[in-house]
Amino acid sequence: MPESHYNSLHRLLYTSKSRFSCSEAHVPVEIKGIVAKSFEKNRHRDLTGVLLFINDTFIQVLEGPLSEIETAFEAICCDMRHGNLKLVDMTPVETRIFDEWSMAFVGFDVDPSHLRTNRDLQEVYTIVESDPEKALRQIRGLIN
Amino acid sequence: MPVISCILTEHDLLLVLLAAVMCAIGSFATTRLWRNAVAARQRDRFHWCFLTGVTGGSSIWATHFIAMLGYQTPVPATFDPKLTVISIVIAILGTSLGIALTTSSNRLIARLVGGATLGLSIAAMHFVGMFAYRVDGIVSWDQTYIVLSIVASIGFSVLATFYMTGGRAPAFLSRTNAAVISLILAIVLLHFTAMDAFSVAPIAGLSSGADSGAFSAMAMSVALVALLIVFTGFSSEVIEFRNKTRSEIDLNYIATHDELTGVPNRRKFSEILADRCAKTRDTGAEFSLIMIDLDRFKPVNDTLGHTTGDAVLKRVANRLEHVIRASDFLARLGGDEFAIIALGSTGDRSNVLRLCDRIIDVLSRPFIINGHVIELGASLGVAIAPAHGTTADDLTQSADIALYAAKDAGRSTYKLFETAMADEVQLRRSLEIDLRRALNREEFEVYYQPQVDAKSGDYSGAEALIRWRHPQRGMLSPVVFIPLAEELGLIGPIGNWVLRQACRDAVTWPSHLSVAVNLSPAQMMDRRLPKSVKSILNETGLDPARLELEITETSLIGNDVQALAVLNELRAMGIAISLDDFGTGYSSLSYLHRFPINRIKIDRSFIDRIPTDVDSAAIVQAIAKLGGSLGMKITAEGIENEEQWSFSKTEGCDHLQGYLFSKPIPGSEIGALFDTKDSAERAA
Repeated sequence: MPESHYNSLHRLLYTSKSRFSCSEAHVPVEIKGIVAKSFEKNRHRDLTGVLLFINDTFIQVLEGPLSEIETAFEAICCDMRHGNLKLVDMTPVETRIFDEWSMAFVGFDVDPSHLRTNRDLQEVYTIVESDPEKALRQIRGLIN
Repeated sequence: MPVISCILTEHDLLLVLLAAVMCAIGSFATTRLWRNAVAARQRDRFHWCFLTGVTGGSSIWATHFIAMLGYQTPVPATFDPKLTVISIVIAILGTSLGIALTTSSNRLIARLVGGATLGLSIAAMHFVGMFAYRVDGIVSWDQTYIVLSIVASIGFSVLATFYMTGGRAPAFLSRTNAAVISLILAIVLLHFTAMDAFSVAPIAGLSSGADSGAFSAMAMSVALVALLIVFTGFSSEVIEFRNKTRSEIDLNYIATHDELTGVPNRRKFSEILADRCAKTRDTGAEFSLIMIDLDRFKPVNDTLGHTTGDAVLKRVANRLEHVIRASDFLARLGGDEFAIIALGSTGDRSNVLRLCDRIIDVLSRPFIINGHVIELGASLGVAIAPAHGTTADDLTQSADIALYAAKDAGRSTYKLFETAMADEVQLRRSLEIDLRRALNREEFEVYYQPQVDAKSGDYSGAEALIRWRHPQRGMLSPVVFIPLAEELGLIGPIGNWVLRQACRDAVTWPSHLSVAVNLSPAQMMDRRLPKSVKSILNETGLDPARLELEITETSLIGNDVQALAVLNELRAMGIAISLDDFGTGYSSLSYLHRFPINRIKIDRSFIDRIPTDVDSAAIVQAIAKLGGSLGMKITAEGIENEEQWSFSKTEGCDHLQGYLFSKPIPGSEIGALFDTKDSAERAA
């Protein structure tokens, strides 16, 4: 495996069901912790991406050098807080689409001002497995 | 007891005590170093002998010198510097030489010569030291005590050597401690017995008594220096001991852990399992054994290489370590086989089953290695002690049986051992034994299912089907025993037998009728197939044009180069090839195109549903049309009623087979059937 391949830019997209052992009310706190931690880690690893949380489901995009993506994804696979983990997409890419985000987070919110966001999230959730390309564009739209 | 009275009456007790402490510590350190000298390899031995010699010599000499300082004479005494130094040299060199001799591989030399040299060195040091001891008085020596002292020194030195070189020590002592005591006795007995041989009478007029203050100071200094030397020697022994212990720990780690993944290996696993089983036999405590086998690992190794395979195994071990509980013991048994001994599950099976769920979940997640996405999975077999076995062997066997059951159940699942599983294995085993003998015992029979021309309804031939008349179990279907025969490598001889029998029977049929014989994938893998087919045709005299060999797509997959060669050879002999069960597998059009296939047999599952099921009807139509345009004959299997017959006929099927015409019948009856029909036709 040539070195260049190992460091070439890749994008990974996966979904998983949250399987927190804590109470329902505590879930947002837990997620906040995860986002903060992955934000810190990703900054050091040259990884960028986004984490969505909708209908108890994580939808995460990771971009960066292949070796870093592999390490990060393996750590996710070892984490039993994820259930029903599905790798939706994993491809070499030319450019990052979340290059300004070490780990952006968008989650479902009951606040009425989030109505549009919630609707968009719902749509990403519906199409992510059948049409990851379109889902990525929608996610990008959500961040802006 | 002159020795004791000598100690008590003629010595300064404090200094005697100091000498005794010196002697004990020195002997202790010396024997520890000595042990290393005896055990050392050739290149280290010199250094160990020297170190032991310096430590031993110094302690012997210091003991003597301190005791001498504590010797109370009625007259003034001094020490001759030159002789004192010589006595030190004798002590160190003599001891070194003695120790070196005790390391000899010849036991007799080591014990007698080595031991004697040690004893003599102690004595020589003592007497030279005595010459250095200058007293202003009349000195006299008692020869008996001199001899006694030397004998004692040699005797106990030899005894010490005996213990150091593997001699049996008294039951209550270790060898080293027995040697320590012997060495102390050698030094002490020599000194005080020799001192008994020595007596001084004061000369009238001279001032009496030694300068005890100065002597004490000197004694302390000598003791200090000697102790420094002894402790230096002792430290090096401690360092050596620690290093050795550490490398023993390292060695033990290497011996009990898997090099690739770092988890405990099979050896450690067996040890823990045996321990745990023993405990269960004593206390009845429950525990579980989980056998884990990766699914689809071999293709990863084969297609992506062993480096990737190894990387997968490392990650598998790591993931397993993440999901097990602190009380669980994980081991890699080799290859892609892991095992977990779930120790902390007393009385709670659901915990173990939850653990199994977690393992299956975590190993079903993809592995990304060098950009390759690898999807594995794991099958698990669980056995619980004591219910499913109380010895390591029984429990392992139960877990293995459960593992096979999990694999059979479609993989990526776990199975808890059940007695029925063992019965199944038992059944399989007995079937295996019977199958090996079935051919010789002529228990196989060939049945034939006739095939008819779709248009005229006349017989066109028959398909040969094997049956096994098992002496106890009755008639067995090939579905039961053919996979087993393939696994056991018996398919070659069985296949040849069927072919020969079918050819023999077909020769007796009317000459326009053909016979179809099935070939298993395993037979297609055998390069000798065309040759054996040819010899069977020659032997039976059947026209090759009347023989049709039926293959399935499975025979072609992953084996296409050889399959193509074999099929071409068979075609060249004039034998027809038909593709069986078409429509169920890959139904690859490229196979139809690339391989010399004469006939397609549409699978009965589609025929079953025609003409009512629209999809099945469409599939039958499509296959018939496709075959027709590729110039192939089409056979519809499983025709059971008139509608299916007429539909198949209309859609272009050439030949038909099914219960509507006849079920499979014994070879002895088919001849008559063909004859009747033929004669009926002739009569008509």
